[in-house]
Amino acid sequence: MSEGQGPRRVGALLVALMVTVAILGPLLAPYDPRAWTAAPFQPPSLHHWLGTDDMGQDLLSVWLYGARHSVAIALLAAIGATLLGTLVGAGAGYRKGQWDFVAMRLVDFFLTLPTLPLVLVVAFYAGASRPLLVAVLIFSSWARCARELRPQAAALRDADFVVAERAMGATETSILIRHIIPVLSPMILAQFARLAHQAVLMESGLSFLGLGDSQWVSWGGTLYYANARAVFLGNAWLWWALPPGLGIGLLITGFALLGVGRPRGAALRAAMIPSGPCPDPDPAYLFQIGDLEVGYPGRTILQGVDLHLDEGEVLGLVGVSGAGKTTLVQTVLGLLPHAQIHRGGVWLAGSELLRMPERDRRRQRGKEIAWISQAAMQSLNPVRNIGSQLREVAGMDGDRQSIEPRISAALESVGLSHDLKKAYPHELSGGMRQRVVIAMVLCRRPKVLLADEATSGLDSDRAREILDLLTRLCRERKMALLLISHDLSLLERHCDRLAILDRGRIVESGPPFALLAAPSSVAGQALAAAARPRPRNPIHRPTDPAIVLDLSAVDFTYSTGAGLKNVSLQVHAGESVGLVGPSGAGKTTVARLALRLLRPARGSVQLMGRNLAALHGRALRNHLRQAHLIFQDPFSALPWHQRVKTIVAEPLRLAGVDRDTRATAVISALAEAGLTPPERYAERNVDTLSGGERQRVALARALIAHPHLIIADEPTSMLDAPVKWAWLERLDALRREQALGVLLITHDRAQAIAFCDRIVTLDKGRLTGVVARGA
Amino acid sequence: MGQTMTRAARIAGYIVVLWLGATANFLLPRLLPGDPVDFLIGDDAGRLTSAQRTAMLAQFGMDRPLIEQYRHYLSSIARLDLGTSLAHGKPVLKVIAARLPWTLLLVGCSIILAFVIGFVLACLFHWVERARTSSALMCTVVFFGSLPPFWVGMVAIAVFAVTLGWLPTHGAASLEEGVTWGSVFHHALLPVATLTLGYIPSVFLVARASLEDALGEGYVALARSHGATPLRVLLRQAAPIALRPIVNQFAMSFGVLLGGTVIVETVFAYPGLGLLLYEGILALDFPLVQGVFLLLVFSVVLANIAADILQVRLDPRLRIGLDAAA
Repeated sequence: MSEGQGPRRVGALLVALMVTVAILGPLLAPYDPRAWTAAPFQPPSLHHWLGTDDMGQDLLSVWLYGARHSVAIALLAAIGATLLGTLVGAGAGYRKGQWDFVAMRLVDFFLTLPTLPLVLVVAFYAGASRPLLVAVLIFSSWARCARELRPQAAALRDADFVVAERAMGATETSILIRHIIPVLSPMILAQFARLAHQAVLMESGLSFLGLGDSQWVSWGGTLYYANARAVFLGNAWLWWALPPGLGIGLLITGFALLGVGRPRGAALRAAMIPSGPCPDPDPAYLFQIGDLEVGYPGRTILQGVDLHLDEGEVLGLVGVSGAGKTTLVQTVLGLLPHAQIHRGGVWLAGSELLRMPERDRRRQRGKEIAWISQAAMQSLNPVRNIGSQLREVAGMDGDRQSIEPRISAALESVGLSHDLKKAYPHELSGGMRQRVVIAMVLCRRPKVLLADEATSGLDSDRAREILDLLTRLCRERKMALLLISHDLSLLERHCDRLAILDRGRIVESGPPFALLAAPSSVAGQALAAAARPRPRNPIHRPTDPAIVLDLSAVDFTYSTGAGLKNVSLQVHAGESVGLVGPSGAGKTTVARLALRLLRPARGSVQLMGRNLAALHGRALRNHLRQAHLIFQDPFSALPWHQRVKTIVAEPLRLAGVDRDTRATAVISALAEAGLTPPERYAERNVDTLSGGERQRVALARALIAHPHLIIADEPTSMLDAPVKWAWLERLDALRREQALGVLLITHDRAQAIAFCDRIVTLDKGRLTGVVARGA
Repeated sequence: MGQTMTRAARIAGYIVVLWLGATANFLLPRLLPGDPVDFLIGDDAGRLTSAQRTAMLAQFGMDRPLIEQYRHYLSSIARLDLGTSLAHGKPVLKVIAARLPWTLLLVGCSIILAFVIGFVLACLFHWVERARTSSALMCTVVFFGSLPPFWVGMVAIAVFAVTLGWLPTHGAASLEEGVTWGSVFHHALLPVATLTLGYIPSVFLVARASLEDALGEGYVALARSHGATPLRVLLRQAAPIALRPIVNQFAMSFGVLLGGTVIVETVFAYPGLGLLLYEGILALDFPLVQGVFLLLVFSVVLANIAADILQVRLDPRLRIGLDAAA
């Protein structure tokens, strides 16, 4: 990870050095910078390392005192402007509305002020005393800081983890201090560095023009006198003018490099050559992967993978996330610059790919082996039209003549019209973009096609269409096709053979129907079980008829016109209610109304028998902790800058529970949510967890304060099938044990049928039906 | 926020900003400590009699109520009447008009050069294989760009003009040759180089960061999977995306860029607006200073409008009002 950190470290070092010099300046300086110490215009000597100026002052002492002035101005002005800019920018972005509008017009105005001329005028007429100079620098430079922080703060305001805080009853001030500022801090640091850099430049420029604060010895001032004495006509500039200039340059460099974002390292590097032995290929296969072992320092991802493919054959590769599917594909393509290939080989038509020089491998990509990436929908360049992107790929082989007919044919074979050539990606639907990516592959005639979760993000009908299309094309063109997915049920119909990848190994393979009927490996069994229709859990009739959530005749309208109309809904203690509907039906709106993240236009929302509209301030925040909301996206719903134990303990912290009680409660909540051993998980950083683990952390956070109601908003839609069912089972068991009311929001009817006692359907903001299961 | 605002609201926003700028310009001399006469006359103000003082104030209309002065000020701006320069004895607008082309020449050339050089260097940063090389490249670019422009100018004069005698030390054209292409080019070379050097790091850093963002995107992986070379990926996939943040950066820092000309023009005694402003300040020529100020504010707003238009050209997502910046 140290790669690319170099410049930042250099910057930090330079700034630290300059600050040290500034602090120690008076101790280091051999003379008083204003004292007449020797004859004027002395070249450097043992007594005067940098010589003397026209007044016989020691230039080294002058330099050291100059550093003091520049550093002081830079730090004071930058701290002031950063504070002001952060306050206005983050505040405006976070509050939105009229405040935001007024603040941003003010920022626009300040951005148009020509800073240096302004400073010049003020300095000249009002005298450049140091405090005034700092004030003017702050006044004229804070606006850009505000401008750059505002959109970030505005985005955070609606981020899931911030909404989650609000739903747990946190005050806005506590959210700002504990979440918004820590998340913004790298950006604030970058702004600070830029402002300090600008302040040094301004101050030295001002002093150079003779308008600085002449009370202080400064680098700019030294250069002003040097220039006035025509020092550049002789050699004196080497020791008189060079050091202050370099001092300013180094200080500015330090701040500029300090503000550089954390670089991610080169993305365009070629893949590493395998270090270990290469087995012999079987000449019978068109494409073969043999004994492939790949890893990163400290962990192995693939451990001896063997696969083979024939012309026109379709092989399905299935595994849960983290099994190593994407690493496998990227290694074959040679697009993983940092991965170490320990042993094994990849052969296409008899020649080994991993040991080929990058030049030759590059020529093979797309021409011989093509790839359809995960999230292909986001794989088109947003600022170039479809035609230009297709043309680029079609022209890769140097055949410029037939480009247009080939593109048209490719578009046609994926069922798109050629009029689309002029369209931009954002003008197409997800399914159409997916087809364009496939058309790019078809502009040439690859022998092998690797499709890595090529249908993720599409609904099941679209996904099926795309898979039908891919398998048909591959049989027509005699391409070998590797279909990769986490969902066994998706692939069973389309493959000739299936292989199951688990923790970097192929654990079993065979014809799809046989494998699905009697899987031999544990991973295979889990995947097969998840692919089968789900048995229904027995209905749970609550013994306690208490109503935990009661929405009656609720109306709500967004500014776009969408919303809810006359929705009534009840959840009893110990009951699981499914809220089912297509996207855009208003399901999430119901969840937000229930936790008063939104206010109903009409009707009432009662939580535990109390009308939320009648509660305010602290009473409302305390009352809201009787319910808990679990979000769809486990990656955005948990604050990524905190540890698991802090995240899980948050509801208790907000309730004012002491630290020791919190720590014990965290452990038992993690255990209840099925994260074992809980002590280990408590200490982990949330960004080291998988999606399934994160959603269990979210469950633990929901359980810790013993709420009466859990609202889970599509909690499993981003989880792999086996993980998904296990999570829902866990929630269901806890509901029975603790008589929790559960409102499960989902677009998946089957899921609701399996887990809920009652199902409420919602469409376009209206209730369309209430089904009591088993009745 | 700009992207989601309608065009009318944006234009209204600019007009408000212009009006605020003009108002600030009006208030500035009146808010500074001391009497406007002190401001006008400087150190000698103490020796004036009170009658002279009143006469002075009347001459500039400053004896009237503030609101009336303000109305008068706005209406004369609307008539493009910026008053008469005290030092030059000519209408401010004429004085500015004579100097403006020189500054436009310097700033225009420098921005274009810095844009090209900074962008090429940023591409180079991502193109080199070794992390050590790219880090060294970054440190070097930032260091040279961080040297203070007045100092770079002084050193450049000492080396290229005085010691080597290749280039002139000051001015915009030589007296003997007059304003010819060769002479203008010759005189602009050092100031443009100095300004450019200072602009490069900001272009480089923004381009580097936005290229890096783009290189992490799906379309880059897709292009590579189709066999695109690193150079092609940079130029055809990442560069078109990275242009927009750079344009944005220029628009936002245009005020600072223009300020830089004061220093460089002063060092090279280059007859542009920056030097005019500096001379105006020293000569207490306050109508002139105010005029230049107003022009600077106006050109920053103009640069922002140009950047808005350019951004829409660079990113088709903005054409239908989608908030692509999010």
